[in-house]
Amino acid sequence: MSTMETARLSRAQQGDKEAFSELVEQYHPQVFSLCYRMLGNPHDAEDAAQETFLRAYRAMKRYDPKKKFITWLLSIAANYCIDQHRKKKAVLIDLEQAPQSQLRATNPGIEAQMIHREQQEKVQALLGSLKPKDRAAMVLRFWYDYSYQEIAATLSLTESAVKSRLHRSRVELAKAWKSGQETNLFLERTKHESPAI
Amino acid sequence: MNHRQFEEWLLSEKPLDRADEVILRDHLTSCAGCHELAQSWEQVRVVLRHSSPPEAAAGFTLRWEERLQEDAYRRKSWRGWIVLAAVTVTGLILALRPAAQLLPSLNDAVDWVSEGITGIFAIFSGIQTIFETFLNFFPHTTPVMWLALVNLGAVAIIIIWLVAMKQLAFAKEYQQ
Repeated sequence: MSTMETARLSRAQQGDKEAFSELVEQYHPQVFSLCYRMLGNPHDAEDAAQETFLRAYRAMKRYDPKKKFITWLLSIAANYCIDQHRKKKAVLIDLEQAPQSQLRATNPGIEAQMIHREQQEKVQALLGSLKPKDRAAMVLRFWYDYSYQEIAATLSLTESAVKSRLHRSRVELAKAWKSGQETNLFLERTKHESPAI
Repeated sequence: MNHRQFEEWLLSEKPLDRADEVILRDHLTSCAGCHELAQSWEQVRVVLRHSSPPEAAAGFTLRWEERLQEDAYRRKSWRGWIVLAAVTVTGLILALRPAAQLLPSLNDAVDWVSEGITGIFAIFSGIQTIFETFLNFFPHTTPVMWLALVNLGAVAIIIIWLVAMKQLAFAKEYQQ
């Protein structure tokens, strides 16, 4: 952690709203991304990410500076998203109606945006086949390179439970992929994908 | 070797050693189920790896600051309503007795409130009696050290309760 960031965190802990806003600006892409992977659409993801920062702001005095700030934030976000799933019981991701206007592709051009959108739809449809806690474990492992220990701490699980959940998730994802292909969900190969797929 | 072991090897993040790799390759040529799983997982991995994270719409921090303000306002207004409700109830209770003297028809309501309050006190009194019996019985059977520990525990619980009540009643506003 840089000296500047440490100072910013310290100021935020003392109640400096401006310092906390700087933290929001710095970390919101990672938090938003996790929420999007967990909830499957940009509107819910935005709401969850905002709520995460609000909760973090309220609990800032309880934050332990020895730990990474982003780890603490992502733990709040993951648990909030799991709670949202529990409240909704089952979230069905409607690929046709999912608002995509806010998803901005990194590459310019309509074709690149289309490819990006298709990829997102595939990924979200796959993740949608997992239970919320398994999904959180999978997202943290796959996109955030979290260790088993870090996932366990974030999701209040044991390390062996994390391992078994990840194994189960991989099997589920492979099955979802296969059944998606059978129902023509992922049938078309995108332009830049390997012919092996 | 059963399929579970092959499944674990297929989905493992660690690279296999040479010998296990040969065994797995042999198994995949003869087992359609494991072969299918291997193919599907490989394809899933490719799709997940190629998916870049989406971005939030511009102005996220600004929207968060607005939300923070709204939240602070909502909390303040809730606290105000709670205080108002508490003051109203207390005021009503205090005003009921003199009002009953002026308007005899209110006597029923006053009696009803009085009975309720007496009932609550009776419950507390009952708990106190049980507690006293318990404490009178204990010195004959329990060493003094244990009694002191129980007392300390009770005091600690009371202190925690008082601190919690203080925090709830006089929660400090986080600097806005």
